[in-house]
Amino acid sequence: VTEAQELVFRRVLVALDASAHSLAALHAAAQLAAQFGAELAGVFVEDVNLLRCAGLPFARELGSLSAAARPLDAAALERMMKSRASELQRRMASVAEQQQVRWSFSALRGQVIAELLSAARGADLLILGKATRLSGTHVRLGSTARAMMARASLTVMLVQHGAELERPVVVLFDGSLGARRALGLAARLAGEDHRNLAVLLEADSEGEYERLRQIAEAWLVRCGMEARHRRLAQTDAGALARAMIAEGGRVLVIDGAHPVLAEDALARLMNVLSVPVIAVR
Amino acid sequence: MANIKALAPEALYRRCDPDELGFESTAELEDLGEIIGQARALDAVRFGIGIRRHGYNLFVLGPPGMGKHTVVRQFLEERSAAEPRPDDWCYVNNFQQADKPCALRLPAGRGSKLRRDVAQLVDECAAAILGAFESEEYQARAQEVEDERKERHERAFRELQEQAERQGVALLRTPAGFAFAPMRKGEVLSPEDFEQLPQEEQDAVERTVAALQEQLQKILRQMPQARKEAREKLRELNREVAGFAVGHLIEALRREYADLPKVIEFLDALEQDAIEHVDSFRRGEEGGVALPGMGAQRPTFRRYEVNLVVDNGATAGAPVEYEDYPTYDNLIGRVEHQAQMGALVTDFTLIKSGALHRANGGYLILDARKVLTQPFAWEGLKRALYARKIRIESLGQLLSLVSTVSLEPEPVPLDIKVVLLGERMLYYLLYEYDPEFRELFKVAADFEEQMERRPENDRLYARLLGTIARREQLQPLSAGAVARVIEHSSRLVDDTQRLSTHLGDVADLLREADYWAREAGRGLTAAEDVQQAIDTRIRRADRLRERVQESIERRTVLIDTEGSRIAQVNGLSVLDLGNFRFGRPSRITATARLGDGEVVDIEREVELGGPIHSKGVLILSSFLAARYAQDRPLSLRASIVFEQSYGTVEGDSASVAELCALLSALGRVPVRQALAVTGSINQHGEVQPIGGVNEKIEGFFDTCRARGLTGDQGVLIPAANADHLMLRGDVREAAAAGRFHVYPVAMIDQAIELLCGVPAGVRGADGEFAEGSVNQRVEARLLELARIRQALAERARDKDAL
Repeated sequence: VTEAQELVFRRVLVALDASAHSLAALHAAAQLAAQFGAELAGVFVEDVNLLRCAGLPFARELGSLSAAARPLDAAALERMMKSRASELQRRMASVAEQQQVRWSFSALRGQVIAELLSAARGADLLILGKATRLSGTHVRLGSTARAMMARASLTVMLVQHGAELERPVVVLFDGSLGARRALGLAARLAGEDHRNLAVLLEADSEGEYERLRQIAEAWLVRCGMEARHRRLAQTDAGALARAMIAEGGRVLVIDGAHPVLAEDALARLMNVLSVPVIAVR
Repeated sequence: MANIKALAPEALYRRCDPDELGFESTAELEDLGEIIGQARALDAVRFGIGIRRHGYNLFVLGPPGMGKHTVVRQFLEERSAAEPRPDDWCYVNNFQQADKPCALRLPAGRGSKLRRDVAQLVDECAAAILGAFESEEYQARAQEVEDERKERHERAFRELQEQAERQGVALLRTPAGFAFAPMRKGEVLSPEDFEQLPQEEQDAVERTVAALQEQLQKILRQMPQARKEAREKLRELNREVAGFAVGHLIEALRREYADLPKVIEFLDALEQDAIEHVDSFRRGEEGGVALPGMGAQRPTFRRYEVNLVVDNGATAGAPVEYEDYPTYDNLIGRVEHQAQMGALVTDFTLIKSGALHRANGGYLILDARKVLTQPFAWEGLKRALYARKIRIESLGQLLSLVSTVSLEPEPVPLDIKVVLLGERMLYYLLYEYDPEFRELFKVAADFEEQMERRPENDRLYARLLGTIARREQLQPLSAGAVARVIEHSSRLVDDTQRLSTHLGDVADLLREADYWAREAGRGLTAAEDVQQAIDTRIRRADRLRERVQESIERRTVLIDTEGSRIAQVNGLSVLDLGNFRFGRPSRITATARLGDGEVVDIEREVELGGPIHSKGVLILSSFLAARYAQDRPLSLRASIVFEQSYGTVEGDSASVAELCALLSALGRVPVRQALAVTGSINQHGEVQPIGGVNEKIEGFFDTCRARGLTGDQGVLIPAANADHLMLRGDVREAAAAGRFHVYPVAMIDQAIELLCGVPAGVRGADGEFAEGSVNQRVEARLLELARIRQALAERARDKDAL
């Protein structure tokens, strides 16, 4: 792995929507920005679909609990979005000041995913909440998060309400270039202490495991690091979750190109994990 | 005179001969198992305890210090040892009505076992339930329930979403819910674009959206119901799992207590409750507010505890309980409260037993006075005895004073024999004024304060003293000491024919004698130690006597002990200080002059004389009238007084002295001041016995001795009191030396003869008293007064006629 392959974070983008998950994302983002000396940029997208919908003459809102139909008032919606934006800005200011990072905040209007993708263009790392809704302990992957994982070309981190950026860090390693970059990031997140890093080696045979272990170790030695190693015979959501529990892992770092992050597999994985997940690109 | 002889010295005292007792020291004597001198009381106790009928409780009456308590207790313990052990009683939670705890009855010893068993059961249940709920099986099944609900919900939602998308409509998430909007190319149609659509299309979109909204509403409305169903399913599952986990544990206990249906009932209720409240087991504690600082406590399952209120596991025979502080609560039991966040709360575990619970099936000894002085204790005791049930009710509840949360524990059936100990006065007052008392305490055991003094009783008494000495860890007593105690015991009851059965006094004397013997370095308590104990006891108490004698000696109080005086007699009175009595002479004087037949009792006039004293004076005045003025008016006005008496005078024991003073005044016959008189008089001139004869004699003796005994001095006592003489050693010595005399008199004439040294005189055949006798002089004077009165009356009539 060369220097060029190593991830550099100069600008961390956090997508905010005032949900509890996105606030957890904000905290994690500020923490990472502080660690990497990056600038923290917050973005809030006012959903144009919603605004348009509110403008339609027959628009009705059905209460999620009461199921009562209420008229959707475009002006009220606008006001709410404005106040939400200023509230988020204030939040961000306080969090960023706490971590002493440079920060900026922008409120955009448009299609959420498209706006986020375009905002992400200038950033190295996108952090967002796993979903917008808070519903019990099992948080299902939201549509925005799913779209960003699938379509963003930068490193993405998903955070769930209640989770914090902590150690130990667990990284999935299959020897690929992406995996090496993931290992690099994981090592930096873990810091000096080798007890805080666990490497999951995907190997269907003992020989393969040994080979991968040597690669990983050789790489880590150069950073002056050590890690625990664990063989992962198969890579699916369940196996990963079990390995995380076994290692006590608090953050999972994966190569963004890894099939476990593809569409349906991603949803399954995110349904069983409650810790932050970083997809490295 | 001289037909009245002074009593011989040996008649002044009844000695007890140590040689006749037949032992050297009480160490040789066997313990006295029986109780002496109380045959009546013991028969009553035996009967009262033996009869097993409602209302046959005992009242043991007698003055304090008689050893009633010891006797009754000893009696009961002997008897109860052979009686069956009563059952244990527990209070357990009433799972249906928590404020009415249930009482469980178990054979003795099994109460504590049940408590242990249930505590262990609850521990095991907690572990078993926790295990069952952590099992893969339960987790999987619970997840299944939850997943099924979510799955159903999501499927419905997804289907709706897909259906909407097929119709070109997007399902949007709004801040508070959902909304539908028509969509073109992945974007919601803006209001302007929508306007551009042809009207039919607009209508079609609206219809579609409305239809979708309706469907969504249906789905959303089903959610609470679905959640409820899922919860119900989960609860059912929990119940099933808990029932399985707990069932076999309780089954083992059920087999063990199969013979006790009420216990089985309790176990069934416990099982049901444990299953219902399985969540509290899973949390590891009962529901309730966890307070900071209290979190460290081990979680307890109070509701499943067994509160063992009566444990007869270690009891041998029927219990004999003595409650020395019989408050209402201590008798009936109580429900305590705990302060919790400023409120007082309680439950069945805070039920505390009372003496009635503990003595149930056996005997309860109580002090009547204490029961009566504790508020409501007497009422509570009677109620329990009447109802034959112990119903725990706080006083507050009883009086409707407070209305905190409280309990109504199930009453416990009561089968008990209560023995009340108390003074006679209490017994008779209760009997008179409390109608329930005679219903409930039908047996009275009256303790005798005296017993007959016979040689065989002397020996029993000696064994009793030996027993007390051993029990109190005192040195043995020599025969001489025993004899001295026996004599003192006679003196205590003022009777040569009786012994005191007041064991408290006797035991005190033995303890004090033992102290002096040890002080003197003797290994055996001797007669002189007993004497010293008696003397020092008097010495400690006789400050007032010393003052009185001193004031007589210094002539502050005027008492003559020599010479003769007209109308002045030495009377004798007794002062009782409670723990000490002593006698003192009092000067009694009389005056007599012309009047209309009235004898004035000055004490009475100033209300310093009691009714019995006044009665004595009235008797003597009627004696006077009957003897000397049968057929003419008693034309005298006399007054009688206790000189230098500044307190109340009561009793008629001075009426002989008063009569003598009056006769002396009338007959102008001097009275010898070397003598003192005590005794009461009746209308026929007979002298009747009085109390405190020993103290009175000793009181006058002390006065005379202080001035020097002349050999003439002495005391006149009623002849009937001769049997009561147990005089002090120094008095006896003086009497033996002929320096002091005790004269028994039976008639007033004997007394007046002795006092005046002149014959009293009897009526001769002519109906006249012998010339020069006291009676003749009195009669003559009365006749003279009558004549004067008649003359005065005639002169007054003549004056009126003129």
